[in-house]
Amino acid sequence: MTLWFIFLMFGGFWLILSMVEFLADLDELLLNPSQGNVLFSIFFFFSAKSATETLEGVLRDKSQKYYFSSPLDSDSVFYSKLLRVLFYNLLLFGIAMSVVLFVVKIGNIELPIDLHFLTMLYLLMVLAPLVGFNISVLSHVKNRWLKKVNLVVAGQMITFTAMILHSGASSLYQLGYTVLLLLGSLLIAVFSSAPVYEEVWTSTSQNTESSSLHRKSLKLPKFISKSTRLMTEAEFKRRWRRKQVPSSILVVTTMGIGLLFIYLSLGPQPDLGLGLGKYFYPSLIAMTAFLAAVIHTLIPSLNLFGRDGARLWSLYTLPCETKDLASGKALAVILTSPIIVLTIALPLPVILDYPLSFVLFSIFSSFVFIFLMSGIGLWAAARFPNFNESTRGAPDIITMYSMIMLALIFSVIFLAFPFTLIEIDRILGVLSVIFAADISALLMIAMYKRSSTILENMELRF
Amino acid sequence: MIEIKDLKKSYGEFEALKGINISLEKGKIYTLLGSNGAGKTTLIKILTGLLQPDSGTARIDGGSARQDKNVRERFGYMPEHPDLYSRLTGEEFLHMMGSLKGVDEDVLSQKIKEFSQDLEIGEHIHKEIGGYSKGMKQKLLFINAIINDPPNLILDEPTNSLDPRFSQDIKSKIKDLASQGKCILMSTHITPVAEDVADKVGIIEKGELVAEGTVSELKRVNGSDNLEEVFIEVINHAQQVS
Repeated sequence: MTLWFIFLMFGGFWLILSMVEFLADLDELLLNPSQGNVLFSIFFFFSAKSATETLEGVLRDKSQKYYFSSPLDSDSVFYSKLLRVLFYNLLLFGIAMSVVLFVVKIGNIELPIDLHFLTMLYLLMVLAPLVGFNISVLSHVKNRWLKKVNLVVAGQMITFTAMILHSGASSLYQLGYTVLLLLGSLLIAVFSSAPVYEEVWTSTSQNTESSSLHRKSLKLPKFISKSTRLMTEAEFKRRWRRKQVPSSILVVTTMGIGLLFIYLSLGPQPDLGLGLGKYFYPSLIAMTAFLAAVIHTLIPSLNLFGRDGARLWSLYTLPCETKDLASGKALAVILTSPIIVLTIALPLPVILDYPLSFVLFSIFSSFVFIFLMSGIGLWAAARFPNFNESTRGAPDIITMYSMIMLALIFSVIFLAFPFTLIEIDRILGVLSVIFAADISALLMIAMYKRSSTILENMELRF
Repeated sequence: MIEIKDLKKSYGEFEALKGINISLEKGKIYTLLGSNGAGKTTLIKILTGLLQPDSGTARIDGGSARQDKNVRERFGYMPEHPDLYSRLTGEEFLHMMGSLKGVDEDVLSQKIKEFSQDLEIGEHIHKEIGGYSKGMKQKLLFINAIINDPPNLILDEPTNSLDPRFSQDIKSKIKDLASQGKCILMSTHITPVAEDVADKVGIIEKGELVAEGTVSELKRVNGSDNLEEVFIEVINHAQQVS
């Protein structure tokens, strides 16, 4: 199943990258992908997203035991869950369309789309959750043959969709075929997924799969204390298995691809008036890296202790320094943070042929964001923990917003001087940003220590 | 050795512990018996360092688990609820906890294998804890408590969720561990469990230790040959007095 998700995800990326490559070859300033490509990318992404959602939010939802032990028949449970995934995706789609409409109206932008595109988009947005849901359910059925046959059929749905969208056939033909695919998916749902749903939920929610695939140890350097290494490893495995790590990497990579799209759309130095064109990309990279650090480092750090909740007893009764254990948890989050450098801070400055000093500035600025967010995140996780099981330890919106603002203020303080200096002297600018990264790392360590002091004084009353 | 002196703890207006005194030597099993909400878990949480007492002391081998991290090497703890990291396998959890408690790598792997076979966890040890039954989690917690062979054991309702066969098994293991010289403090509200294993029983009600003694002493003083009857009588009497 995981392989299937990876295939779906990377398939989507491959398509996007193919489009980028295609456009780059044409050297077009204005991005103009084919409608088929755009539609299929959206369909593919939402299919994968729905499949993941179904696995994590539906099949692994243990609370369904109350439904199955009630007079409700299992078909009713199945359809309620299917509709939940469907409506949730349509809601997201609706919100996204509203935003697009707003931007189009405000910016007075002319989009090359017609009624056929919109109708197809809507139909695919209904089809994608159905396909994703079926794949998720059927790939967990016990009977191997049933699993194989059903997955082949579900896979064909995706292939057919791709073929239709790229066929260049008439609009009516495409619409008719998509409706047929929709009916086909519905039939699979009714006759294949629904009858096995209870069985699949039982085996998946019990979660008895062997984890031999992930049993390998992380090779962390020896200068890190043993307790920190062990804690990092355990935390990383848990985050990986909850698919938090891959999904976060995916989002950051998408943001990096988005940057490339903007570059391809607007060219190397867009004319923004007031002679500010040369600041456009540095500012854009900085904003994107900041946002990526918020998503990849700050927000996951904020629930490090809240999510553990009652399980914290195990850490409190260990003969280890709380600082080491807290650092271990934080390290598990920032372990993959260099992805921000690889996908956001590095590619565009290289493509834009910026001097080495600017490239280094971009890289070290990202590290400033990562260190600051990790420190602030861990401190806030200890200072404002949310032990409410139903929210999975996620901080409330006010805390989250305040911490993002705090990170922004710190980032401005740390980077304003180097940013000004690099304008005057490149070498001094680079040295000052390296110094800023050092100081932010020190601040991060100080905040780790502060959070461990808070934790030591905390009482576990639950 | 476990020593609790004049231990008091309040949650706001509610007095959870009103000055408890308990002393326990090595090789002995002390069972805290009490109804739900009597204060057993609060006492155990203070002893293990999860809670801070308002006053009084709770010491293990002369030290406080909350203040001195080295003390934490000297006891194994089994909590009341099997709250475990569901996305780790049983083996990974035990490996992490054992290593952090300072058990040697080779010894640890051997111990995990032996204990999991002994308690019939079998191949499930390689699977994620999220798929375990409550009883299986309880067994894992028991293994975790004894993995570093600590001189003291603090067990909060250790036979919870276990079927009669494994309950019997755990009880006999607890007695074995005591015979090896370990000092064991356990809580339960199941009187036959206390009757089976305890060298000394303390009945706790509304944060006070209302009766204490060996099972036979308690039976004799209260004129009954059944610990359950003794327990109910002592609790009723304590409630009338308060």
